[in-house]
Amino acid sequence: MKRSEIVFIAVVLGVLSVGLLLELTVPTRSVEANRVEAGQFISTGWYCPVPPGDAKDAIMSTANLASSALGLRRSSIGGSAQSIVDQISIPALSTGNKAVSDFSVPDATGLVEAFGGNNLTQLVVSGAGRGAAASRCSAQPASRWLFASGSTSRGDDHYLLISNPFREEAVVQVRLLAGDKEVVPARLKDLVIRSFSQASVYISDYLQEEPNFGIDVEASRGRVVVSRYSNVTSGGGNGISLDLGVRKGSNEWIFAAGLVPTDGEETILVVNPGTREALVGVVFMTDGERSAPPELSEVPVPAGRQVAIKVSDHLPRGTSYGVQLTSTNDVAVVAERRTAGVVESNRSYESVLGVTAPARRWAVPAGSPSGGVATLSLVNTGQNPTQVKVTLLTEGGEAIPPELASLTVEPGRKLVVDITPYLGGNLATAVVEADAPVLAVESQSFLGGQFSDFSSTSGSVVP
Amino acid sequence: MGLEEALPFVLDQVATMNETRFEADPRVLVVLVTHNGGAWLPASLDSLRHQIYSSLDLVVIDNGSRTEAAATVSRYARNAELVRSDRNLGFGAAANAGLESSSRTSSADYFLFMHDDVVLDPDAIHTMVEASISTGAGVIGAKGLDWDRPEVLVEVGMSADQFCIPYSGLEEGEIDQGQHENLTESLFVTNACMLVSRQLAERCGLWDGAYFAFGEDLDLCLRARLAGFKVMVEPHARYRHAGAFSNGQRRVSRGVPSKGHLARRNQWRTIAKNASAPRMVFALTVSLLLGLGRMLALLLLRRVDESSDYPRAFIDFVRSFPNLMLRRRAVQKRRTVPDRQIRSLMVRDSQRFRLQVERRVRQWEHGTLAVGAKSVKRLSFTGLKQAFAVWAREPMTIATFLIVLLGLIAMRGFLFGEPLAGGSIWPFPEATGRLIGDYLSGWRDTSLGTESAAPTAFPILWVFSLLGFGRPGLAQKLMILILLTIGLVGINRLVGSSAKRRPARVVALGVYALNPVLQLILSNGDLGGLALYAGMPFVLLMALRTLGSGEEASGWAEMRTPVPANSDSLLTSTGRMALLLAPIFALAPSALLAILLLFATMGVGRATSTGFSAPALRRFRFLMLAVPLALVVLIPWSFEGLRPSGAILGPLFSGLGGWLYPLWREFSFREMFLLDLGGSLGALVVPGILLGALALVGPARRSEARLLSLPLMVFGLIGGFAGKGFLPPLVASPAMWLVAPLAILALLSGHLAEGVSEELPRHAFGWRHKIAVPALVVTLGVGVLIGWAPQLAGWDRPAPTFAGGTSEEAASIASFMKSTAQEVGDFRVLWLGSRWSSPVRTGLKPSDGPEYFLTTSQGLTMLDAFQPPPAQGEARMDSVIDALMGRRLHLAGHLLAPATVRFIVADPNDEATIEALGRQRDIALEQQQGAVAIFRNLQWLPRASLAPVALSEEVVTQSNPSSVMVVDWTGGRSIPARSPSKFTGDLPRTAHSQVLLGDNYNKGWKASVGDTQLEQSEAFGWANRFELKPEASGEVRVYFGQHWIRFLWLVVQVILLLAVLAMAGTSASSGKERRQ
Repeated sequence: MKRSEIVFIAVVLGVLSVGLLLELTVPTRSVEANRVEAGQFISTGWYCPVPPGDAKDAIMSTANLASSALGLRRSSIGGSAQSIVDQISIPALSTGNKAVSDFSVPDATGLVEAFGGNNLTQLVVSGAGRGAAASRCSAQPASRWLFASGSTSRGDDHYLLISNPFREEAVVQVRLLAGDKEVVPARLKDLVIRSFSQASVYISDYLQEEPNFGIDVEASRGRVVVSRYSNVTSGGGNGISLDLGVRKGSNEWIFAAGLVPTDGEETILVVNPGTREALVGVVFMTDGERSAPPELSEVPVPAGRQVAIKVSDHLPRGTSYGVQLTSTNDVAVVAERRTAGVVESNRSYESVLGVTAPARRWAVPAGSPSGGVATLSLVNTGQNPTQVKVTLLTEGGEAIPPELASLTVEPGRKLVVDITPYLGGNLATAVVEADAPVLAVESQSFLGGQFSDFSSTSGSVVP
Repeated sequence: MGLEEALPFVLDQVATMNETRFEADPRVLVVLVTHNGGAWLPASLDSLRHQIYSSLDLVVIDNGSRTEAAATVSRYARNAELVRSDRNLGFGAAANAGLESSSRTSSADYFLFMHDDVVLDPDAIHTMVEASISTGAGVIGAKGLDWDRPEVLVEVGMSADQFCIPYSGLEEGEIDQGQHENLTESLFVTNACMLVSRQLAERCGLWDGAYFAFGEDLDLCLRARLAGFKVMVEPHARYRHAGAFSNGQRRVSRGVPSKGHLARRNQWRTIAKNASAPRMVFALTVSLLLGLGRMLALLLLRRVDESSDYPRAFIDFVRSFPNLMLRRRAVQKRRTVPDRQIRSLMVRDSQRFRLQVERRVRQWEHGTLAVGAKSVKRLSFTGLKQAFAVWAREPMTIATFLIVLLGLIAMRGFLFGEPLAGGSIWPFPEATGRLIGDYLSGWRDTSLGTESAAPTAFPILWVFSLLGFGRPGLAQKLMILILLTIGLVGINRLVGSSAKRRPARVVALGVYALNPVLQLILSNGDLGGLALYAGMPFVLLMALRTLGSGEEASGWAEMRTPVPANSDSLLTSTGRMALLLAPIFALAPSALLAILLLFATMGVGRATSTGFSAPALRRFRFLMLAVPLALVVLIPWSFEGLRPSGAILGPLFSGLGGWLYPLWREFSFREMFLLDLGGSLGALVVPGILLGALALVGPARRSEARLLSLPLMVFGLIGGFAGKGFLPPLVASPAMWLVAPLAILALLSGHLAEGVSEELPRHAFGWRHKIAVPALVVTLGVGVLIGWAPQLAGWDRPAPTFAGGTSEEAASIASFMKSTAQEVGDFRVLWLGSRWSSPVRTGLKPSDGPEYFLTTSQGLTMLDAFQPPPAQGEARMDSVIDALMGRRLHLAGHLLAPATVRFIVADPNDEATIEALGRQRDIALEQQQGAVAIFRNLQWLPRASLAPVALSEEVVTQSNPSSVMVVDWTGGRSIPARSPSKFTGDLPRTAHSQVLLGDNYNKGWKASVGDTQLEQSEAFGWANRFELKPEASGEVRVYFGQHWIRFLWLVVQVILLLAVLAMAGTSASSGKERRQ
């Protein structure tokens, strides 16, 4: 063998060895998956199912969170008459309110189409003599909607507001998930929702005297938006509540504005719409401590069933708290907080779905057309203190009260901020920004006086 | 002598003609042309001597015979004049020369032209003259009978089709039973025996000498007919004809072009001279295209000799074209008869086709049907038994057969399962005609539509579609099988070029056939990779020959001859390489970069053996030249393929964006480098083979192993770094990258096996043996059996990651889309989400944004596989999809509508996509089948439609340049499509005020109503918008112009192909080269 050949073979062996060495030592470069990030809205359609009958005033409040003007095209879908279409533009960082009754179409869903940057639309209703309630509107019609709470006990009137804002007919099925059974009322098996219409389903017509159940609305055809309107006159509380359902379960739920009634009961209701049992851990956060009762470390929630956790069994009455529920075995659940009793001297009824994850930026309706006290409850679920800024958007524009420009929320703690002095009796949207994505936000209104009502609304994450 | 030279003389003779005529019998001058007349000439002359017709003169033209005909002539026809030519002028020119030289020309009333292998009945001339006098015909033919079997008919007048291909109308071996006894008109008669009147000669002239042979008789008769003369056949005049030239009995002098060459060229000449202008354009175009198809078919069958006739005939034809046009002018000047009269005597194409088929069947029965290099016989049990007995005695053949069988078993699901619909492999269109229509269309109806050139792979697929009788599934599988077979045949040839022994071939075949690279190709439906797999062994072989590998090894001369280092030979070799590379690039565009790198590294590898000498550099230059030359053949598509986002360079540039990395990362550095696709034990295969081939073979093979080890290592290194994410992958799929190293590996395995079996025994048992035996064990035992073979068990079905889900789902979706398209007209489908985009498929959405692609209602087609470079609309589509998927939009249906998107297909398990679609006010779920959800765009707009007056109301947002169109426009009226680039329909009396066409803002679209051209106004989304005038009425037409540009390109492409074919030379020279 020639010397050159030996050298050549040595080179080949060398390259092979180096290649093997590199393979074993050089790490693979990470590859980012193609993900589309949410950004500024271009156009958004908000669907706000409006309660029938006794909700006399329903106001769609749209907040322009962007730094440029927002074009609004507002109308209603459903009802028996052609809706008036209202087109306006609202300035940057302000709100635009519109009464749904202005469209002259009863039993209709309010529709806000917004063209421009980020925005948020919410519905605030005032019930005849019973107070007020606020709810998020939906930008995402879907084929499934879930609620953790419902009741057909005497005095508990619950309505499902099912809106079909599309040209296609929708067919839905309503499943009621109680603690010991699962019921699909015969007439709710294939409920047809005509195109461009809203149906109000009075649940008591289908299931009588059932004190506790979750609700699962599934569309086998088409897509719908489902809200639940409650008008409760039973002993514990007396008031109205309006909530948009959630489209799917989650492994995590956070409620920021818990307050154990001095009389009556506050209950955390957990529904498992899945097919496997869920194990849920509960952690309470107050302004002074974070506590995880051992008996609530793994609460079993059977598949298709509802479980109720009475808060007063674990916290003293009158305690202001936040609560975080986590599914420890990754089975998604739906959780809701229901209050019936006396809170801050108001005897009322309220039910609210929590938020599913902490975030950095929130928007939430604040105040009520009926006046009263408005508060913001902030919960820090993280490990470090977070700085928070609160901006209030009204029809007049943006306001950042100096006292709210820099708040500190300690880790695992809850902070309640009274924003009543800054509202001036107006409806507003509070934008809450934290320096880390650890915050959960909920607003509350205590109307007091003749209404003796309180109302809670969970925040909406905004980009 | 040409017609021009002969005609003045003849006319001169006529002018000075003796006024005296024979009143009884017209004078007939027999013009007999002989060339190596042999035994036929005496008989022929003798038959003339016995004619009952007395007023005869004879002129014999000895047309360059080897043995002069003088003695024979003087013996059998003493009074005959003899004219001699030193060379073979061809029949027409020789006859002209004879007439020019003969003193008897001026006194003749008729000229009887005949061959030297024709024997006339005694009364033949008499009967023909009588027929001429009675009918006034300018040309009279006779009944031709076979020389040896006079009961068999060979001619009773001839016809031809519109492409001037002759047709006799006789059955083969048809017995003369008096069935053709009437004096009838015929399109033409052959010059074997043809009586021509003087009047005709004076008016139209005689032979066109440029024909040489084949077709001059048709030309003369057509000229006669155009000038108003009749051509008749008198069957009572009979002759026997040996057909010695046609059936190859006659010795022909050297330098005579082949029959195929003459027949093609003269066919085109006859069309060019005699057809009317429109018919000439049509017939020439179709005839040239058919010729091209036939040439490609012959090339596929390896009948290179015959296929090379076509380019040579074409070049000949083009060269003589100016002169031909002068002749045409003269012919057309004399025309008194329209084409349709002559067409009535022509045969229909279908009739000729039937005859061709019957002839082929007879050839098959007689064992003379040529398929490829061999003729095939009808199968008989005895023949099969004998063939099997011979075959069974060859163990290596059995081993090869077993390898193929194993492969077939492994691929059973793939090959014999249901058709692959929806895009695992490029689907063939249901309608075969659409392929070629799309190819020729100026508008490509793919993605958002574009006016770019269609991929050159179209003609290839078209051929396969035809072979599959228009059934896509059959065509697909046929193509897969053929490409696989070509690959295996190729590797056999490659290894056979340097190894005599069968074990070498079997080992190489095993390595090439039973490996995970092929599995990867098939499981991904990577047709491009398969094309490269088929062509790579041939590329490698030609590259090695061009680089002169093995020239220093005397023992290889019989197997592989290096291309001589002179420029002519290298140029020929370059042309051939380009012709080989062109279809590979057409099917696998990004393979170009891999091939370039392969050639470059082989060049450097060769230099390590021979040094950088001038001849070596010349060889290298010519090798590299083949790559751009292949692209020249693919013009105009290659222009687009070479753009940064095009099919060739696209993967290189888009690879930087990272969309290919996830796929490449499936192959670790070690796997890419060592080709370890079969597990860790298999990792030993590559170094085992490489080092074994370097150390254990003789000097010549060792030199080649050194040459090849360089590309092997370079491919491994680059592939490895690409797999690690530190380099952009050069090619669209890993399989395409692995094929070249695999072929090298197979060749090295062959070297190793050959070296061990042949060369080692010459040496004493020593250290070489000690390494050789384990190397072989590793190669075959560990590599194939342990490493690779187990993978074959799962090798039966492509991965269900293609557009359309599983095959069943895909077929169901395809059926739904097609039925909807039949109802509402064509539309586009948006496939949204990562599930549908296969990075293996070239050209599909190579961007960093959301993953999607658009198809027509046909689903994924070949057109989508080679997505054109983005036009103006793609950027907008990206931004709209981005907004849709980012849930920043609620009217995406409105925005997608002008792009004709009717359906959006998503994976129901893809939550992000489903949520994004659920947010849209104008998109509804249509149906859900298994793992496929189909949404309908409620605002869908047909591709071409009439739209209402107030069409749009735009809300321009500041956060995005896209406009949101909020008005509903349903109720638009569709204009029916006639082709991808033409829509026509009647304009109804409605309130419609605009014509819309949803195609990528392209300004090339035009619209008209009746005779009024419509003006284009500002685009509406993706749609072009034309304003209708209130009083407009008539037919509304929307069309894409520039067809002539596409046609021009096609002509240029054909010319370029023919030029490269001519450059590649003929098989005769290649045979000579081989023999050298």
